[in-house]
Amino acid sequence: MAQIQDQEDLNIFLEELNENLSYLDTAIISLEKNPEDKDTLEEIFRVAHTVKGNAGFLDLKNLVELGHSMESVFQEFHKGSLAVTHDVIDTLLACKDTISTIGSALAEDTDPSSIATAALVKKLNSYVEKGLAAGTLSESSSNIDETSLNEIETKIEYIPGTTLLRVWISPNEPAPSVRAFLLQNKIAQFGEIMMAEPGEEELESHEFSISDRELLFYIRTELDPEEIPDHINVDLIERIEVLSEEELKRRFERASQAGNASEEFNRTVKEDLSVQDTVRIPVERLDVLLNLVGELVIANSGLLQVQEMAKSKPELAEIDRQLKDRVKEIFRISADVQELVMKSRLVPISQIFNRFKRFVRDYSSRSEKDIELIIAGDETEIDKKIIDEMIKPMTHIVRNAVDHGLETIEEREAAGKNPTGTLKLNAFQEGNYINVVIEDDGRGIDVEKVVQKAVAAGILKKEDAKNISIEDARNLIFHSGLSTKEVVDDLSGRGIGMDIVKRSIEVLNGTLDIDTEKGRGTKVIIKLPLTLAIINALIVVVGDEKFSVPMASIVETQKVSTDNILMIEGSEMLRLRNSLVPLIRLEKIFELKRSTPLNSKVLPVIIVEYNETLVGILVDQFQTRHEMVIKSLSEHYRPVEGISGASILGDGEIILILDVHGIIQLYKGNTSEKSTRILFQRKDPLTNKVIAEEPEAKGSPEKPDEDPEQNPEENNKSVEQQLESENTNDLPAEKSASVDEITNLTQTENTGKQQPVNETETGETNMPENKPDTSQSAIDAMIAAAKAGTLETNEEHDDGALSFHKEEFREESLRKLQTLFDAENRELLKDWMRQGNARAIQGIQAMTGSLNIKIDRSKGKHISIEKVQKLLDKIENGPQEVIDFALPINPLEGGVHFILTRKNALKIVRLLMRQANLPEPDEIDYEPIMEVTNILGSAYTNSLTQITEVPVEPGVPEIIEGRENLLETMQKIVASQPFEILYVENQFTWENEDISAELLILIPEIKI
Amino acid sequence: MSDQTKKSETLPLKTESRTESQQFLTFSMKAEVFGISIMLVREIIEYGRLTKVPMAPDHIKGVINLRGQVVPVIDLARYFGLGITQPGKTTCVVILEVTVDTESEILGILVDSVDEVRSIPENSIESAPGLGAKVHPEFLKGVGKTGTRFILLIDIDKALDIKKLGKFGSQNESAKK
Repeated sequence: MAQIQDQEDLNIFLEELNENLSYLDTAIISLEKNPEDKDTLEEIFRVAHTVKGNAGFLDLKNLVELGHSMESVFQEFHKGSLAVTHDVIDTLLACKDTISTIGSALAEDTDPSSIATAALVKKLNSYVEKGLAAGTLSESSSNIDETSLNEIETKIEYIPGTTLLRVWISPNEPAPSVRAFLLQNKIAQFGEIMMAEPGEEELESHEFSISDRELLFYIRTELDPEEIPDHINVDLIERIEVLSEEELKRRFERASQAGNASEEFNRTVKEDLSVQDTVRIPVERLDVLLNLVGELVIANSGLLQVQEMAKSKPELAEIDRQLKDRVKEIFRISADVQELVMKSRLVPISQIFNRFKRFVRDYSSRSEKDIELIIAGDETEIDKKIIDEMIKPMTHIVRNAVDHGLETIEEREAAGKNPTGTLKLNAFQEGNYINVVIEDDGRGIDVEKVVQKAVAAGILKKEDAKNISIEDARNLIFHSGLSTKEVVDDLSGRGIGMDIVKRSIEVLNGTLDIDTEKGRGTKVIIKLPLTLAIINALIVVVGDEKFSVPMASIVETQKVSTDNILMIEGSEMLRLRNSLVPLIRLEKIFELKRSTPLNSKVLPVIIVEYNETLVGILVDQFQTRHEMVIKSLSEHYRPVEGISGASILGDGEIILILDVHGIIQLYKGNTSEKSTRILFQRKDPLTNKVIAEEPEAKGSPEKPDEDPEQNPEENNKSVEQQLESENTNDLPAEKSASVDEITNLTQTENTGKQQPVNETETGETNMPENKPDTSQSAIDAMIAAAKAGTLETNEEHDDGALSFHKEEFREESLRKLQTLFDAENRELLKDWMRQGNARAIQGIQAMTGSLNIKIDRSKGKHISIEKVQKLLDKIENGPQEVIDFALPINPLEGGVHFILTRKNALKIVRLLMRQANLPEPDEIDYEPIMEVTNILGSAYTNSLTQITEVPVEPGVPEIIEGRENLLETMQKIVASQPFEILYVENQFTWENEDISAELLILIPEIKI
Repeated sequence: MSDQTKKSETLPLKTESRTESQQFLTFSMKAEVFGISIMLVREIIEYGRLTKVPMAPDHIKGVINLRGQVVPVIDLARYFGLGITQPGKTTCVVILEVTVDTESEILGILVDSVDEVRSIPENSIESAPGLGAKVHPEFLKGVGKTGTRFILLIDIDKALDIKKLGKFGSQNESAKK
């Protein structure tokens, strides 16, 4: 028990110490600027005194000594006998650091007495001596050492005819006031006490018990002063000093000479010491209190139910009425308590701001920069937890400002600026938010340089860099691994980049904006919620679960028609006011189960912002808005990504709180894993450069108007591009013509064989060179495209909305599909093939960054299952050499089979690897081909949806090796239900390699 | 609150003198009798409303509201590889207070039924058999013998290696174990 007590004492001590130290830091620095500021000086003295006193209580001799010497220096400052010089201030700051080290030693349970203080004490004392020498009093005949003498002067008073008795009670005495009382009784036996200090009230105080426990008794006595100590035989007394009347008078006069100000000073200090109207409460305890209030509310809800019961019985009407009043009252009181608890968590933001005073001072003196720190609004209050979480990001921003932002004196003079740079920290409240602004008048962020760096780091493609908007360029600052200053010293480049800063602000439900102007400075604006503990959130239902979404992260809520949801490149996009935003289904992200299918045509969507781009999150239902108290999931049970915490609703139910940004991260992760697991395009900007520089040489001669160099603004807009090319009217005339030339099989002699009549030639097209796609992953590309502005979508295709939840849709879908295989009208089928090919090529170009791909021939036939075997036999190099990448088409149970010979497969893999600047393998690596299959699959399924309005999407591909296995699989599939089979033969040239590949597309046979 | 709570309060305590003995709360999971040091047990509550955490590993059943505190509930049987606990009439949540890195954590474990508090002398605790046991010996402190019964004594530090167990997110890692 005793040990626990000690531990608690120690914790209190350390807590106070830290607080006092952070105060000392700022106060000492402000003293340097305003040496005449008596208020600060008094406060510093008080704090140093408290530190010393507390240290005495814990018997930290070195700390007591140091504190005492510091006190003495402050006293000399106050008397004006010692000048506040840079040198003294440095020493005082060093003392502060040493005290801090002692504190850490205590916290870490190492020996604090091993920390050397002697040198500092000696230095301090030398100042004090200097001060004393400079002062009017140089004589000292007393037997008391100089420093304590100095202290006496300021404490004693002269009462004629009295002797002063100074007694120090041992720190081991647990009840000093009792000891003082005993002393008083003892003294009363041999003299009359004229005055005693401290007074009774003060004796009882904590302050006294942690001070050096000095008691002053002014007594009239017959005894010789030297005899007095013998008469006081009380235990637990450390030291006794007796000053005779003459001695007292002499000392008092001397002290008066030092100035009345000094007396006043000490009186103020003493008054301060006795005032103690605050208590310290750990935040955790407030949390518990808050929990209990919550419980109270829940318990009260129970009471409400009792009242409901009473309501139904007329004879209990009076009870009902009274109960109702009481319940209301309890609710009101609970709300008040809750508010109060919330308020008590608020602390002034000066707790962070003040940290930077020392930092900026040290930085200025260490570097060739002169920086003035201006602080405003530091009394603004904010939740304690936010303060704690803000320290790191704020430090980083301030470091950036002084290190990268502000220039050296020389540089500033050369630029015609005030040689002293300014760093401004400001905080103010705005509604339920606190704004924190960190502003410097330095060189600003050189956006161009950031862009160059981004290109050099491969984050940005060179050709994209040319057209980047100011906002986008500025946002690059938030990309990990970008720092505008090459030199990394100990003040910056500590690993956490602006991306992490931004993220950590977002975790607090805050936002961060940067405003910068080259040569003028940078302004970082952080907007934070007033409190972390309570949020306003919207409760939504998804499947069988409920979640809450912080209102702060919601831009708007919408109810959208499923007609406005499009499938693009395997991802759903929402058409919102003429632009496309990525749409996230929570049930997919969280893999939620749904007991009843969602079959509404109008769905609620939450629109959120991500990197200045809108993203939609689809839910089943909006419920109510709630103010809720956030509870963290316990520390060791980190929540899943996408969940920031939990809250408890009025009825006791736990509801999880969504972390919108986490969800977007999850979504991006899912998307990129599924569709672009190997992101070849990310690898080497060099590759891109080569391609970008010589596209014409390899470009298709018939399509000069498609030259990417001439349409650079389109580089970033894959989706737009894609949407445009989906619109057949937008195709260049040549292309349309080549489509029109498509003949049925009897006219095409390429195969050199007469084909049965039931086979229908569906398409042959020469694909034009396509533009390079963005270097981002699929979702990034989409976001970028959506951001790039409004996307023109063709009205007649938009109706192919995705609503594959309903069983009854199936028949309707199949009916639509039927038209595809209408022997009379092959236009639809041709369209499909052409669009599918176009998208596939685009997709592959986007994935690889390689433009040099061209379909030489693509020929489609509508065939029967029997023909499949024949076709497979035809494939070169023997039947065992066939690999089929089978991709299901959902929910139709159809499939796209991408069939390659081993030789061609290896060619593709080597090509892909080469473009990614990776070693070219000798064996087939299936992974890259799977990606290609994914692209092909989504190309064909997407265009199928566009053309037939049948909502389909690709599934996960699997590999079937060898002709026998393939045939077996095919037969199994066909045995299960009849299929229409399309066979597409492709010949293409890719980076000068000729590759042929076959596609077998299976669609369930339509019987209505 | 529940009958179960009452039960735990009035559990018959079998004391053994002479040798040093420890007290264990015994309970059953999947027809096996387990014991856990009574020092760790904070309370026993009825299995009731529980909120699922999406994408959490299988052995994390969800979170419950324990007087305003959000407490995770673990299906220990599932974690031990004994199969999923199907909540029934006697299903309880044993609330434990365990210490992780000097900080105490509250968590609940799902059990089929709570048995009693037993005093088991040190000398009748044998080390867990390496072979043939349904539960990996790594999770056990030993096997306590009382009469003809064997009680599998859970070593909380190892079994509830909270860092391994607790990560809601790292589903695959812990599921493999």
